[in-house]
Amino acid sequence: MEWIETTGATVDDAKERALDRLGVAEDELEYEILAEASRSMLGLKKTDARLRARVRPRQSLPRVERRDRDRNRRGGGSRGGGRNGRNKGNSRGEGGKQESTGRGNRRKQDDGSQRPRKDADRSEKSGNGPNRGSGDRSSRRRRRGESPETVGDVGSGVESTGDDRADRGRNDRSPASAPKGVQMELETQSEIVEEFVAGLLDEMGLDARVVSTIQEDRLSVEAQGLNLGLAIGHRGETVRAITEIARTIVQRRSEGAAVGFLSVDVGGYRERRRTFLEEFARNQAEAVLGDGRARALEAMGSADRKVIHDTVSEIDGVETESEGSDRDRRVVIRPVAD
Amino acid sequence: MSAEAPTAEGVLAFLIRTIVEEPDAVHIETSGDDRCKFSVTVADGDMGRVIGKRGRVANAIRTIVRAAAISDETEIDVDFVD
Repeated sequence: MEWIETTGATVDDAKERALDRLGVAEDELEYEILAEASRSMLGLKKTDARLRARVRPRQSLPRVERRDRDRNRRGGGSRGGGRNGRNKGNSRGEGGKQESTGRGNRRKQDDGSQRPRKDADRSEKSGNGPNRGSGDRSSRRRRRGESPETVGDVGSGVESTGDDRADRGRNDRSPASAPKGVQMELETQSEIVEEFVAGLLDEMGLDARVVSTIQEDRLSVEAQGLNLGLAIGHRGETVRAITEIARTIVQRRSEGAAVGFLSVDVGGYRERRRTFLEEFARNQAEAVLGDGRARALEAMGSADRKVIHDTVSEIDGVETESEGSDRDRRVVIRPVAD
Repeated sequence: MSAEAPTAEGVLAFLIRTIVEEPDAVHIETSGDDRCKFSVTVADGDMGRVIGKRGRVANAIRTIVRAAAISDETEIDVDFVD
């Protein structure tokens, strides 16, 4: 997992900046203070606080041995082989190419299909950290019990997980977190979380179907159904609370060795929120381009701010910056000075 | 008349039992008149799990249980008793 460095007038400022860039909530941030903000004795010279930060890996133990385990416990054969290449440079091939299938295990075709290309591009453009907060949830859904989709992306005989990491650059975990381990671990987690979410909604008297999607190192568990508003809450506060508990349970059951990133959604809330934010960001950016005046948006959490930063970074002529601290932190969209 | 919030209580019990190591030691007491107050006791070793870092888990529990209490048409408080 890649480290980034940020600076700020205070340590808190630098931290907020890191949260923005990584697009994660505060408890997922791991950081070291490289330098405290200081002033020279006469107060004339000011030095910024500097920190080094990254998304906290959820895995604390080396899991090297998992590399060699069979990942295909379920769904028979979505992710076989792949030992022969973490062939990093080779991963940006266009979808649909299959020319390399002869290069190795045929099952590798499945690999790579689950990479959210859009996201990878976006995060590259914004130069931001691992795009944990912005998984493309709409893509490549895999339901439990069905075999994973096969989309002929590949274009390389490369294993998707390692390959995507390289692709995204910043998402590299320690070498110990082998792609195979990720996959297996997430499947176990998905059982735990599905059971929890289904049980909880049942207790709440709600009728829902719970499905999981595993995409690279990201597990998304979603409760689907009608009238789930109670479990979504005001601005998604209940969804976030359910996610928090789900993470707690997974951490405990795995004794802190859970890998990957877990996201829980109810009734498509997160996806709607994301779509809404993207459109909102584009409209605001257009308004800024229209009259050349900067606009400060409402205060948002770091994951939401990241959606705004990412969306606006794709638009020429405008730039974004976060201002304020803690709960008041908001994104400002301004025209790029010529 | 004392307040009742059966859905909220069921949800609270479910959450706590899922989080703790010793579900048998979980005890939930209900009190309050117009507003239900749940007092939760857990095994000593489980208190930290139920509260979480900076009370994050406790707050998440409160948020979910409050949402559930909407079905009971009442409001609730959750206390974790040490």
